[in-house]
Amino acid sequence: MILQLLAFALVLGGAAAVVFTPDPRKVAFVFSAYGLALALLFLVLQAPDVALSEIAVGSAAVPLVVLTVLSRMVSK
Amino acid sequence: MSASAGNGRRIAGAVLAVALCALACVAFAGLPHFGESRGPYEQRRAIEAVRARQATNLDAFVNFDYRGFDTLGEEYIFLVAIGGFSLLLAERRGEISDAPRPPADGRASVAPDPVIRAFALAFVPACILYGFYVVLHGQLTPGGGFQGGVAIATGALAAWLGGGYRRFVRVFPKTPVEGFETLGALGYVALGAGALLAGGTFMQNVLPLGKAGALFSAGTIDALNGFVGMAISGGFVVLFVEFLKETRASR
Repeated sequence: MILQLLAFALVLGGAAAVVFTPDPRKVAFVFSAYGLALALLFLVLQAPDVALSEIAVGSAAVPLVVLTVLSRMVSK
Repeated sequence: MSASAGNGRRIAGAVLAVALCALACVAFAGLPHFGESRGPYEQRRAIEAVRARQATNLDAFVNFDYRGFDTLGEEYIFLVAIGGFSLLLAERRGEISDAPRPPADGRASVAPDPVIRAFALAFVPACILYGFYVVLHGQLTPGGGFQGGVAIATGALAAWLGGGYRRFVRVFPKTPVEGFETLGALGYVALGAGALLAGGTFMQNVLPLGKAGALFSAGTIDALNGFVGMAISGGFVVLFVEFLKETRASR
């Protein structure tokens, strides 16, 4: 129960950090950390399958796509 | 837009938000209590997965056997999306050949830091190996074709992080990667259709089931996991390469 509350608190803090980070480049990395917090919550709630998917997609694929798009926008 | 029209929209939006909130509260009140979801359905599926299919991962049983046809659709949604945007990006770039190009104008070609290189050297094989482990154990433990496939592709992407774009496309050339992806996509359908030849229905689990807990068990669940792993890992590497090409000179 304490673990669940802790994981929920982390997700809440992470979501706030994603929303209130002003620099889009930094958001890519904050979002990746937020994905890990979310994965921890899924794990604590006994959904390891979903946790693995979240780590795999949220930690590499999404930040890369966001960063590449940003690099195109800056170069124009 | 006049100020009054803007206010009208804001009021309408607020009313709708409150209504949506109220409906959500009613819906949540009807749900089982947090952490309590012991329905008869999941109990039956759990018993069926182990007894009838020798699979200890309930998710794998549901995804690749009970609703294997749905998963086929999901796999193809992913592959069609990858193929579609690859075509669009290549068309927009006016791409003729796959030869690596120099960085786009105004982008410095930075040599990776030695620490990152050392990290990548250790991370690439370890992550790819872990990905294969997750794919192969899909019917036994959490994870499976999708999760393992993305892990393999993430390991491959670390080669770009440590070695740069040119090394990345040399270590993971387009043709074998796309072949891997295609083989995974075709294998899934072939296995489903193979069940027809064996006298069953499409996607029926016709392979020998083996014993629960063994590396090769649960019949087609294991094999389908492997095919999905191939398709997803190949597809994600293609996605990464196509996006990274956007940071290079266009012609």
